[in-house]
Amino acid sequence: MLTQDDAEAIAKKLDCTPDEGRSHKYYELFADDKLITRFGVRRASREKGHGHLPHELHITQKQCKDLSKCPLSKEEYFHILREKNYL
Amino acid sequence: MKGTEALPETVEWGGVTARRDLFREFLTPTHMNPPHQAFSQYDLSAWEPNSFSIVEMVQNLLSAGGAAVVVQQSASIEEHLRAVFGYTTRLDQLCKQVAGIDSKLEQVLKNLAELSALRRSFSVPIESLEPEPYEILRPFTAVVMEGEGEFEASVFDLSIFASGETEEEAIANLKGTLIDTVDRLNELPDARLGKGPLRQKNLLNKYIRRVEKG
Repeated sequence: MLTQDDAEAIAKKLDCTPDEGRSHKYYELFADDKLITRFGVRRASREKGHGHLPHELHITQKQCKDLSKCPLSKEEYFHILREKNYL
Repeated sequence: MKGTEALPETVEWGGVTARRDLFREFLTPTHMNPPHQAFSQYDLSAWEPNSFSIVEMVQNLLSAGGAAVVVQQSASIEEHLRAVFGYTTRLDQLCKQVAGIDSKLEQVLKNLAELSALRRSFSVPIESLEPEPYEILRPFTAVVMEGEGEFEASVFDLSIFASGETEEEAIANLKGTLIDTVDRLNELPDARLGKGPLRQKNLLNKYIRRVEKG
């Protein structure tokens, strides 16, 4: 299960910008000063699920885990986004 | 005394000729103890006992009427034996069928278990964002799916996703994310939006509009 820690780790790895919404905290990913994607972090317990992350990041749950735990680099993630025509 | 000679094809007994294959079925050392005089010289132990009831019946016939009666009855007994073998064959077929059904049932149960493990999902129409000052221009539907210890709500076409511990929480979070996303995308000029967010902004503005109150 993806957690708040995963979301925070991904945000750090991708150098995301935090954005406080009225109901959630978000991280925004910019490339060449353009917003590429944004994903929400639940403010409650760190153990709460973040199953929405793969959808918002346009990758699979495993890739999300890999992005959080290291195997998938920022460059590789950008490569995936480019292949999916998000960049 | 047990005989040692192999049983010949036919045995003369009581003035009639009895076929070996029939006696082989009926007469056993166990059920003719001691074996009848006529067979005392033969090795009956090599014969395999068949149906107890048939042996018993033959014994009764022997006691009542001698070998002649046995021979007279042989035709019908043969029929009985064939019927028994027929039933055995049928029983084998039924056993195979039951085994087949058992295997299929096992597969069905396995499929059911897999189905129940699959994520449940249902649709929730989004018709209002009250009490937030937004109106829905076109009603749309969110899909809520049971995930790994949580519920995930999504409006796939609008690229809005959220999670919650319950279905209600997931929908509430989805509405919150929807509003936050509309606000944030409208805050940013189009020139600062990538392909995905720009498409999302244009689409969201067709579905949701902020209402100025007062």
